[in-house]
Amino acid sequence: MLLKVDKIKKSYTDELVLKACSFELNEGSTLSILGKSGCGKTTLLKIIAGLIEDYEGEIFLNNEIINDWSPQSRNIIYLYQEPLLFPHLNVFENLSFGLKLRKESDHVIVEKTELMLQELDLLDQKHKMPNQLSGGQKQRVAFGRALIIKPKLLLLDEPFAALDSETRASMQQFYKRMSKLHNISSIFVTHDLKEAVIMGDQLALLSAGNLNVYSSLTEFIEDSQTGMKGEINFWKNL
Amino acid sequence: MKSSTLNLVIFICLVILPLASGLVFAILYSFGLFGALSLGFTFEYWYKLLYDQTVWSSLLLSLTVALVSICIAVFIALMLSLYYRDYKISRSKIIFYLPLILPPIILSFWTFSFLGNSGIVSRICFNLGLISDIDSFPSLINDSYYLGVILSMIFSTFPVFTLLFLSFYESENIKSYERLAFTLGGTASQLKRKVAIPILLHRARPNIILYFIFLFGAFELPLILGRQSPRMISVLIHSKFNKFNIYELPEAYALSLIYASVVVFTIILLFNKK
Amino acid sequence: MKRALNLFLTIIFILPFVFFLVLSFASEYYYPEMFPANLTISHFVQMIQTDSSILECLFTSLIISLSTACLSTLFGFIVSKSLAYHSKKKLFQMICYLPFAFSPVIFAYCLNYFFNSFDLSGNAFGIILAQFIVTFPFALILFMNHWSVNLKASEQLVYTLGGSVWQTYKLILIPMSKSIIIICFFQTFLISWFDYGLTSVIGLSKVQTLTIRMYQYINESNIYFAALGSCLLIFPPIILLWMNKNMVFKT
Repeated sequence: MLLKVDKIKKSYTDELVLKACSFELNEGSTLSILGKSGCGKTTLLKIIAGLIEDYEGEIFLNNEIINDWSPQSRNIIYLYQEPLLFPHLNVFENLSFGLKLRKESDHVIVEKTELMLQELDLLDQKHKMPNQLSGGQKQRVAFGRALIIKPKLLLLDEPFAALDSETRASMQQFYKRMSKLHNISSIFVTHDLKEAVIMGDQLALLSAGNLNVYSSLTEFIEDSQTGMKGEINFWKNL
Repeated sequence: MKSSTLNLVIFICLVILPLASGLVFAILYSFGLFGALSLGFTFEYWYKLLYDQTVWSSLLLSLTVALVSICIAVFIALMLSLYYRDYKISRSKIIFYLPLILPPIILSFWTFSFLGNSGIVSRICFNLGLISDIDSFPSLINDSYYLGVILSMIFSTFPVFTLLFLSFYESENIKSYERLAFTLGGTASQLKRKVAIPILLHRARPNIILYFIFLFGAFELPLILGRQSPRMISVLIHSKFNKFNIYELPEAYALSLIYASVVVFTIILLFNKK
Repeated sequence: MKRALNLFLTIIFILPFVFFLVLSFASEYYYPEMFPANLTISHFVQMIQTDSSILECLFTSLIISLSTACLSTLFGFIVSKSLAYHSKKKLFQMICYLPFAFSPVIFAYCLNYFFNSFDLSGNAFGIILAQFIVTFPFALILFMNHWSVNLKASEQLVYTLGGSVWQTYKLILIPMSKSIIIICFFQTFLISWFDYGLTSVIGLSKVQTLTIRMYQYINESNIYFAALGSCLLIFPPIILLWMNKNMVFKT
């Protein structure tokens, strides 16, 4: 087991945002968390990444408790809805940013970055600045920038929400491919039912601060709260 | 200590502390609780100040000068920006920045050299035969209507607002609102009066209020171009602090507090409306 | 019509600058002549040669304004981040407007006692500190509007990528804030450069800056040297304006 989240509770002023959320994640798998905006998804991911302090509960990474670890030492990367490419750096520099932080030698940086550019199919774009890229390309660079440093866990906070439906579909396939290739462990948060099912090996629903992890897709479909049944019936009755 | 806590401490020490200590000191002094001649708590200085005609006329003068200047400057700026809105004036726009680099002390010197009795306008009038000697030129410096001060304030303020209005015209997408109003049957003048001007004024309201405060407390311009009596508030306070009579110091602090309360009240109003 | 208006505005805006330049070279500008009878460089020579020369005032002003601008930009950049992301941001912003909105001369009189007590009156260090008390909140206002959700997210991203606080500032926050840092530096420089009120009260007129000297020239009706002083005072902002108009006034 890679990650264990045990009874995480978090409140802002008087409002309890997360009510004793617990789940486990195996290495190389993706947990899709479905939830409406404002349900506490971002808070949960930021707590795991170490970006939010003052919460109750425990987080284990490879059976080690990491509550007191700084975000820098966790090797867990949190990716936002926006690709957040650094506007003053070109594609190559954005991709190699994490390697530079780790003070890798120049030739290692070039080697790894070139390889990543190839995998991302962005070799011919490497000198471009972020504002010259399309939405999908930006998101690919953002993934590459995270993957290049081989994180233990990727936290994806609605990464495709800002994309149009066509690009979104191709990015979902791209992510599935990359995730297999690099054996990535991730938590994928989305408000899109279809996306949650496509992306996750495991499914969960976060609603009003309660996290419900399903043991199978059937269980997920059966739970009326997920809205899956209604969706299936809609298409059936067309 | 966490960096955010440290930053808050720095903010408190370098912004709040000087501000609060200055005001508290002024309060203590004005009530006779501090100073070389301190006799203990008294309302004496405040009574004296509140019954002093010069204080009220100074406040009234400052308010009037600031209000007249800001109104005229905003009016000119509105007219100019509405006139210029359809032209690409990026090149000529740079000239509007020129008055902004004149500090008040130089602006006073310029007004003095331009509108003074021996100034450029007076020389032109003389050479055109409009006046017969230097003394027949109407005095615009140290004059009773504070015209020199008001004209200087307008000169330095209207370019600021012209630039602001032009930038708001773009950023608030006023053109599209005007187009909409036009399709609804609005005339050209209605577009200006009912659409552009209200949006511009609404958007610039905080800037107008802030500029009003600056002009209300202006110092160098009325110091050099104003009259001995009445004086604008900053100059009056300055003169009270500079008198050899230290009995006037508590009054000077009390007057500073009156000025400060106007500023604080306006800023609070500005933020609550925001 | 547009041309005429353009020409009129250009003339009234440029006239002061031309006037100061010509007058600083003039020696006899008697009424009712429109132009000076003589042009000379003697004022400039005098400026360089005299003991307590205007040149010294220029250097004093430069040192004071550069120090004030450096300090307020540095502190403003760092401190504003915590204030901008704080739940009480609006209150902090309101407080920052106060020292900036107060008439500098009145603010200086209210602070004078403390400056006297700590032996900070009448010296350049005291003036720098006094001006800093005004320019620092101004820098905070500028920077507080700069820190955004996106910048915060970028900062957090760098942390999760393994970057230290220093690396985050050096590689991301400073480069991404370069233009606002430059604007803040030059605008705080100008506030300090133009200041007369604070400097005259806290400096007790012992510290001769350009604005203090300008006031003396105007009081003495020494129009030629006042014009020369004006040219020196206007020169740095003109350079800034030429470089980028945003540095003088950001709409």
